[in-house]
Amino acid sequence: MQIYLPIAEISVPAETIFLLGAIVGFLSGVFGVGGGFLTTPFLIFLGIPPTVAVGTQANQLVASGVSGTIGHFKRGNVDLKIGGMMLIGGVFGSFIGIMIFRLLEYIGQIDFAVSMLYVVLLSSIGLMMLSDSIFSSFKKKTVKSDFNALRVNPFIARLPYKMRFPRSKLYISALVPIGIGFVGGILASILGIGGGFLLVPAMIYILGMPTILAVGTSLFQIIFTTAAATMMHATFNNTVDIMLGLILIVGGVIGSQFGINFARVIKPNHARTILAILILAVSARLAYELLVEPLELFSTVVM
Amino acid sequence: MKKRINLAALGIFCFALAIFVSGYAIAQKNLTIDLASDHVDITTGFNGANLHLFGVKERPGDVAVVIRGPEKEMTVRKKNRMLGIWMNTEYMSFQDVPAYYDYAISKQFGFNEAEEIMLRDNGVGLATLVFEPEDAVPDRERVRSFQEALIRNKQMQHLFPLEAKGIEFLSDNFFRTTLYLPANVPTGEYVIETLLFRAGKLIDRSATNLTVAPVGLNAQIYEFAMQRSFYYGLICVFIAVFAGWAINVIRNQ
Repeated sequence: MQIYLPIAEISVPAETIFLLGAIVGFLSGVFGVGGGFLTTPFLIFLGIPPTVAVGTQANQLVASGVSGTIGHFKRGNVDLKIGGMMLIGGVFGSFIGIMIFRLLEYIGQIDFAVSMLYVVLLSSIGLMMLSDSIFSSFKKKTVKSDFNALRVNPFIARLPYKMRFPRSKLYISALVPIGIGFVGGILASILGIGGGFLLVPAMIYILGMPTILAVGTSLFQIIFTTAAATMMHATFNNTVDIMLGLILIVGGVIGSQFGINFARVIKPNHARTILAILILAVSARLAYELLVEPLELFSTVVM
Repeated sequence: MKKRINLAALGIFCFALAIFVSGYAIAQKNLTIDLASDHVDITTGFNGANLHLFGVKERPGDVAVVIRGPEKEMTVRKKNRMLGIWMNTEYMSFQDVPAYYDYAISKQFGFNEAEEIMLRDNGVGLATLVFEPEDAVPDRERVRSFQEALIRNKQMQHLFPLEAKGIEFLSDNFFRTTLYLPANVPTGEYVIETLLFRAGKLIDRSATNLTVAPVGLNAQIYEFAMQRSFYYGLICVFIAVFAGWAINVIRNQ
């Protein structure tokens, strides 16, 4: 069934979009990732303009952010104070990100920038995860769970505006969570991703937060960052397609149900290996387009 | 004061001229055309549309039909290899490029050189799609490569034709042609022109308008998103928040 997207102004097969939403929902159910990094490239492969793909994806992430946060919030895994600091940076970062996005679009480099950023981010994350899962399956070592504030980098320890964050038992500069949120905001508005795969390690290794709190808090702040990115894409760029977003969300709801059930069956280490291979495959596909001479060198856009 | 009187006189003259000319045109009408519908509605299920055009010619001759979409500024970009990566490094902008173009000609017509030139002079065929870059470019070869790429790109999107469509004659004078508007058809005002040629000369032309616009839910969403974009964004966020909450409720059951 073809469906005409009012903002993207093209007609797409609804089943394909629904299936994409379901697969991404399935993955988010299994691995607990937002999956924005998969949706955006696939929407672009399907012929949806990159600008609409990114804007709509930001909107869809609000939904997965909310559903993820509720569970973590009930279990007390959200540090509201650090999350609040991060979202100040995040909203500001989204704003800067939208400006960069518009500039890149204007000079005709948005496709290149989005692909390039994805290749760099996905290949490094994918390789890290893959080596980690292969390594741990050989050595069976236990992953160190919690870090404490003493391990924080001396440069970060010297930054001003120190604050106490009782929930995470931290005493650090407010600039650090604001800075991490800022980077998350830029990623949300340029790439249409929540950036959880980047924020969570940053919160663990740079802030020194406990892993479980880092996951809950990053989801919490992703809601606000992606909501801000959605608002700005809708207001300044007119690139949020509600029709496209709805199909993705409905697909996601159904997919995530299967994903959660599947997660109970599969071994976590296997799941991590599969996700790493998937991430590397997407990144290889994008890298291929950047590195191999295209069949058509010219492209035409309506100004 | 005097100027105003002159203007009024000019207005009356023009009005009289218009009546005279239109009366003359009716009397001399060689070509009558009609579209099965003067609008193409882009509904939620829109997946391209066939456009049926009917016409009657009162005199013998060959017929050509041209459809043009709204004119837009288009930028053609060219990728080059930079540090091993293919990226857009060159561009050229063209003004007043029709967002859509297609044409049909009657059989055995437009194949000799004289007819080709005549068609081109009257805006029929791919050869008429020649655009000048916005900024003067001295290198003609370069302009040509971008110009050809523009047509190639539009052909790939099915917005420019690869070749002429045919015109079917139901009797000696009664003809019909079907043009196809693809699913990605640009919205806006279209002009469909029918031309009648005889003995190497254009003897009549007749134009009709076509509106391609979203209707119903599509139109409402589009209008709202463009005119009240802040509130549209707010609604999108609310829908997403609600959906996120709903996912959670379903999950807990």
